Amino acid sequence: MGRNKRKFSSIGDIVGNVRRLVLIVDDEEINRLILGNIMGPQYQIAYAVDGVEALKFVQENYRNLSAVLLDLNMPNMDGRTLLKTMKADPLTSRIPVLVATGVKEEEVQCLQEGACDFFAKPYDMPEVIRARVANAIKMAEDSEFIEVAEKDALTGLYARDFFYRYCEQLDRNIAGEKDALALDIDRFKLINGLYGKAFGDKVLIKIAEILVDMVRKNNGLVCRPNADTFLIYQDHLKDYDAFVTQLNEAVNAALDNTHIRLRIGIYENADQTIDVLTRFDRAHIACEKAKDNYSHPYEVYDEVSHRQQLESQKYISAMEDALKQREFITYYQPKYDMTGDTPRLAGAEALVRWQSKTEGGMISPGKFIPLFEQNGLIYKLDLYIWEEVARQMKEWKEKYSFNFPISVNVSRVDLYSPNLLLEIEQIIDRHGLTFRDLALEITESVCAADTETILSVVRNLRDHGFKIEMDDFGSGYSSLNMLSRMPINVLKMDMKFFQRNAGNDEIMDAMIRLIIDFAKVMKVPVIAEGVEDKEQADYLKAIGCDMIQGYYFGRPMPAAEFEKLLQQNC
Amino acid sequence: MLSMESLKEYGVKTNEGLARCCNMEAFYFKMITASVNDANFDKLGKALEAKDLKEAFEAAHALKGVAGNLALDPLYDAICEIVEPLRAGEDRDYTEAYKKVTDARDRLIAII
Repeated sequence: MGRNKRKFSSIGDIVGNVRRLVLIVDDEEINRLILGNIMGPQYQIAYAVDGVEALKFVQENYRNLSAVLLDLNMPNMDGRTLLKTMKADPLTSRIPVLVATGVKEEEVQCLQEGACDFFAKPYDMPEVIRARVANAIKMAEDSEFIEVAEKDALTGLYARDFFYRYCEQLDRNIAGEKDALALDIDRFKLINGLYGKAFGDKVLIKIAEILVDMVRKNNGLVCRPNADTFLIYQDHLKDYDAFVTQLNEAVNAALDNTHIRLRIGIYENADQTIDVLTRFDRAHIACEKAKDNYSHPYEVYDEVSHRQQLESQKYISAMEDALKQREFITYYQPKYDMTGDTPRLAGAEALVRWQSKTEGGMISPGKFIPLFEQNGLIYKLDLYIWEEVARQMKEWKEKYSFNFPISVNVSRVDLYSPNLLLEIEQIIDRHGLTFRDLALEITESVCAADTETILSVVRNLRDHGFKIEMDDFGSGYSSLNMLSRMPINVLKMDMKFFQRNAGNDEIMDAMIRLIIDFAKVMKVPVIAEGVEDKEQADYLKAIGCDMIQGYYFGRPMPAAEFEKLLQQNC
Repeated sequence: MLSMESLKEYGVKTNEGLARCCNMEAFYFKMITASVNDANFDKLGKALEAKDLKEAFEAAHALKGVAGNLALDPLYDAICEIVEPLRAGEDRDYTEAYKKVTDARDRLIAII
C-alpha cells in the first residue's frame, strides 16, 4: 500500500458532517424564517429577535457558533451595536458576521466595523447566500491555521500545531465531553535498535493507521507530535478497556506479534475551558504513570496524580536550594546491643529529614526519598548526609569515647557512581575518621537487582574496611545463592515486614527464626528494626537477635537529643 | 385560497418570491399568509398617528423587508413610499401614504 495515498480522516471529514450552528438575528419573524429556510437542513439554526437576545446567545455559544446572519435595524440593540460588541470581545470576535442590508453606505460601514461579508435585501438567491455563508465560515476556520506543515511526512497524521487547532475546532463544532489521550511505544529505541529504523518506521505507520481507523467512529483526531508519541482527541468513551484491548490486538496482529507495548494516558472528560496543550499535558502525566505499570495497559489522569506530579516537581526544583540552605537535617536512631543482661547503646542509624522553609515544616522522607532515588538526585543528598554524619561523629568521638559505627544509607544510584569509593574516602579523611566508623546500609532489593555489578562494588567497599549492613532483609527477592555470596557484616530485618495477624503468628515467628539462623550460618549479627514494644524485644532477645532498633528504645532524634544518650551511656 | 395565478394577478413576482423560499410553494404561501397579519402594520399606523417617526420608520422598514423578500410588489412599492421620507425624518402628513399600504394589504387579504 502506498502510504502517502492513504486517506486519513481529516477535520473536513469529521466536521464536514457536522451541522454548524448559525445564528439568524432579525426582528421580523417572516424574514427569520425565510432565511432559516434558505440556510437549509445542513445548518443548525438559532434565532434571535434583537441585538440583546443575540448577544446573550453569542456569549453563551461562542465556542461552537460558526456564523451570525445579522439584520441591522432592530429595536433594543441594533445590528451595528451587536457587531461592534462582538468584535471587541476576543471570545466572540472570531465568529464571522454577515450583514443583511439594502443600503450601499451601510455595507461599507459594516465591513469597516468587522462584518466579513453582506448579502442584499430583499435576499439574494438562496444559493448565493449559502455560498457566502460557507465561504465566511471556511475563511474564519482556515485563518486559525498558520503553520506550513499540516501533516507529519512519515505517518500522514496531523502535525502538532494543526492538531491542537483542529481540536479547538472540534470543541466548537461537536458538542459533548471529549477525551485527550497520549500514547507512546514502550522501549521504542530498543525496537529501532533490534530491528532497524525501517522496521521502526513501519511500526509508527501501522500504529498511525490503526489509530486513525479506530478513532474515526468517535469523531477523533490523531497526531504524531514527535518520535513515538501519538495524541488522540475524541468523543468521551465509557469503556477504555475495550478500546485498549482492540488497539493492542490490532497492533500486534499488524506487526507479526512483535509484542509492541503501547503506554497510554487518558485525560477523560477533558476540561474544555482550559487550553488544549494543558489537556494533553494531563494525558502525558497519565502516560508517564502507565510506564511504571506493566499489569495495566493504560492510566487515567486524575487530580491526585496531577498534584503528586506537581509536588514531585516542586521537591526536585527545591532540592539544590535546600542543600545550600542546610534544610536537610540528620536524625539519629539508636541501636541497642541485646546480647548482655541489659540493652546497651551500640550504634545508630543516620536518617535524613527535610525541614523546609518554603513548605513551612517537615517534608516526609517517604515523599522525597523515592523521588530522588528515581531521578538520581539522591546521590547528592546522600553525600551531603554522609559528610554531616562524619563531621558530627568526629565531634562526638572527641567528646565521648565510643567505638561503635553510625550507619548511613546507600542508595542503588550511589553504587553505580564511579566516584563512590573516592568520595567516601575523602569524607572519612576530611574528618579524621576510619572506614570502620561508618557502616553502609544497602537494602536487599538493591542487591537483588543487578547482582554482579552490585556485588563487586559492595565487595570493594567492604574490602576497604566499611561495615556493610544489609537493610530490610527478607523484604526483597534475593536468591539464596546471591545472599550466600553477598559480602555483608550485618543483617537488618524490619519487623514491619513480619506483622503478626491472627492466624499467622507461627509462620511469622518461624520466618524471623529462619533469618536469625541464616545469619548465624553466615556468621553475621542480626539487627531487628521497627521494634515497637517490650514483648517483641523480649521475644527477639530470646531467639538470639543481637541488636534492636525501634520506637521501643528510641525514635529517630535530632543530634542534640542523641548526644544526651551518648552522655548517659558513654 | 392562494394560488400562483391570483398572486401574479395581484402583481407579485412569484418566481422571485418562490426562489427565495427555495421553491417550496407551501412554505411561500404560509409566509405570505403570515405577512398580512404582521403586527408592524398596526404599529406603523399607531406610530404615525402619534407622530413617533422613529418607531414608524422601524415598523415600515420591517414591513418593507418582508414585502421585498416575498416579492409582494404592490405592497412593497406602497411601503417604500413611506419608508424613505421616514428614514429622512420628514415630518409630514402620512395619512394618504399609509392608506396605500393598508389598501395593498387588504387586496392581498382578499386573495388569500
